[in-house]
Amino acid sequence: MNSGEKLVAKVPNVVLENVQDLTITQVTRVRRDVWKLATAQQWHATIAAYAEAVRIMKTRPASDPTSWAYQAAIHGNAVADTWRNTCQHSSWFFLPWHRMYLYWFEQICRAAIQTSPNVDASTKANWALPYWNYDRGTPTNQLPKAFRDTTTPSGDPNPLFVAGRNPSMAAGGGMPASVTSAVAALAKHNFTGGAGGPATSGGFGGPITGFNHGGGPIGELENVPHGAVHVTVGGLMGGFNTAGLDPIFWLHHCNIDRLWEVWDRQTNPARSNPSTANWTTNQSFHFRSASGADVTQVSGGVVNTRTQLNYVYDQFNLPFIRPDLLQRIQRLPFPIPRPIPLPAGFTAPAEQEQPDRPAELAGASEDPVVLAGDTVATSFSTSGAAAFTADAAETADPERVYLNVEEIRAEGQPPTPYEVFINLPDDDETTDDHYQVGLVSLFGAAEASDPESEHPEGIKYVFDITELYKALKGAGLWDEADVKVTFKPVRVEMPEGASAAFTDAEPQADAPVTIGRVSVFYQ
Amino acid sequence: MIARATADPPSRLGWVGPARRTWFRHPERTLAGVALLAWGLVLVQVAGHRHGSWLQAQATWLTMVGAMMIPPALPMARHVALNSKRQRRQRGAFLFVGASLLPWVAVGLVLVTLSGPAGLSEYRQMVLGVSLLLAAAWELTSAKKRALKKCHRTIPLPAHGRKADIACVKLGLNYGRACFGACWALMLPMALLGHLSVTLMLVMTGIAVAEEVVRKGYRLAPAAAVLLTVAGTMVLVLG
Ligand SMILES: [Cu+2]
Repeated sequence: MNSGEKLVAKVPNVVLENVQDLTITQVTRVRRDVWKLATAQQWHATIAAYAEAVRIMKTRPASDPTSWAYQAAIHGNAVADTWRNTCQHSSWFFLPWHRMYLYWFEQICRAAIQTSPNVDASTKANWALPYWNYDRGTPTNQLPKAFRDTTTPSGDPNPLFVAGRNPSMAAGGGMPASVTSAVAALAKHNFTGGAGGPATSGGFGGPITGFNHGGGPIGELENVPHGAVHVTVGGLMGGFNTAGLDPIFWLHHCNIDRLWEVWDRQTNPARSNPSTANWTTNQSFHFRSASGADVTQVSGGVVNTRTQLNYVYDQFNLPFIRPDLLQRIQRLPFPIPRPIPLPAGFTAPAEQEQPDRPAELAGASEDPVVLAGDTVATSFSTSGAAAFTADAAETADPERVYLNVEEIRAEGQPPTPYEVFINLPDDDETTDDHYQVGLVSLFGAAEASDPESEHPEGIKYVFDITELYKALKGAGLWDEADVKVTFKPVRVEMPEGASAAFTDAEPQADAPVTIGRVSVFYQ
Repeated sequence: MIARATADPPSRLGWVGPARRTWFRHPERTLAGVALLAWGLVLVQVAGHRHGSWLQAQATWLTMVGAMMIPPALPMARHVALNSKRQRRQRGAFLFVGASLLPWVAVGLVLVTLSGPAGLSEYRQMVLGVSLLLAAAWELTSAKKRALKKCHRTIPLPAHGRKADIACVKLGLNYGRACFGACWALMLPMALLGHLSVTLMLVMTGIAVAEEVVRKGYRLAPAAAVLLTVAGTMVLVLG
């Protein structure tokens, strides 16, 4: 641990204006799992200190760069400037930008805590943001109680509580594994997406872009669990411009930040972050330090949290296996079509190199699909694989198969993410998993639908369904004349004994989302 | 970390490698050929007569429209082609571009018809200079910025049948309307005067292409405005 070194010497491209900031950042901080803290004590000192920081920041005027309102506006705001409305989405800058954002926010919280008489000296000296790892089953998939209570133990309004969240989540409901699991993202071998064309996916961390506020294809981690958790928690968390106003936002993003490192630490094959200058150094981003000064950072300056930013996470385990999922694996009639949580040491199925030719449209829905809160399906025919081959490689079967969910328009905040299935045979919920393609979080769908936005073409999801396609075909369940794609709204799981009134309070579709086209591409 | 190429099996066409990949990756190449052809015709026309029949004037105008307005539409034509089934790629792209040029055809029918008899060519310098300054001013309006953003707006394209054709035409009309809003001032001198110098037409096409093709192309507007102001002033002052 380089505790004696000055932070400024270790972080390239960081301009620290205020030396006061340095004195409190010289030890390596540990960001801890909020549910481990909360299990020990609902108002663990680290959580209570965070509440205190939020309370203090909320007292500052919105024009103050270290205020609660200003910090949220950095993520999204009606008016953009050098600092505000600059969050990076659908981009390979998504992860580094949010890491920087968290870093400076944490500095601001830490400085606020120092001024508080309500925080003990040891917490003041060691405090770091906790993270919300929602993927360890119940109760970790629920909002910690300290974020749900309207008042603190002393009876004051709870700074960590906000109104307007999904009623089921507010009542202690848990997010299903399709929302919380990072396994599909962690299985990705490449940080960025494929070779171009309409079936280019976002890879693990997002597609290669310039400065990009939103719109276009999305990285797997940014979709699930990131976007899915945003939309499932709902309320302020559901929109770019308000997400940072919910205190859970920062813990959620710490977990995404941690998952980036989990991905990076995987071997077999070794993962690596982009190394081109366009990612590492050419694009810089502006933030505000704890003194309110302008600071700039580049992605190459934030790839190693310990040596460059002085913090680590308490653990980097791969998502562990859940007993209910294990049971389902054992029931599978054919090989697992998609990765599901497995213990440490688990090797993702080999991700084939993408053939270097454009994917070809095999079939698409004729009419838009409207998501209004119910399960909805669309069917279309695809051209046989043989017809596809004449123009590209002379092979009998496509090497890769993609399912695109595109031309998405939303008037308002989507009330819930949707799970996506292909060729679902019946309504038997226990077999759903065999046909699940993934999930569309719809986070940012409304922002990207605004014709005034930089990306008026909307957001887009590209799923590589090659393995599922092969499995379905092998089982005689792929009919070129009738490919069915089903969208099922995510249902929050209510804990046992929760009142019926709350279980009925599923999110209502007051703002339907229109999926302009669902298509299958062969490559 | 971009996926690398897998070895291409030999094709029926008997050629492999980067050239073949580029060929399939850019189905809009055919339309690029049409634009080049139009430029060739423009060069021939510039070398030939200036004044001709109504029909000739219309043909001249449409050639210029093809030469100058197809290039900025190529990225969207590529989007259409790559989102169509293989056997429909060219059809979709041509339907899209054809529809996108309709507003310019209408302009030709009105303006080109009126401008000839109006004898504008007697005030050629003045008309040209003023329209270039007008184009410069238009660059700086928020309406221009809005129109440019609209140029990138897509719609769902069904895979086959009449629905697919209709969607391509509809996208073309949407794009054509937005493109007209963005580029009308650039095309005005040609509509009023017929051919300009090839250099000037190339510069204007360059502006249109850069603004359409580059993401956030509206950021180029101030530079384009300066360029057009210089050109307009030179025409007015130097003659
Ligand atoms: Cu987020």
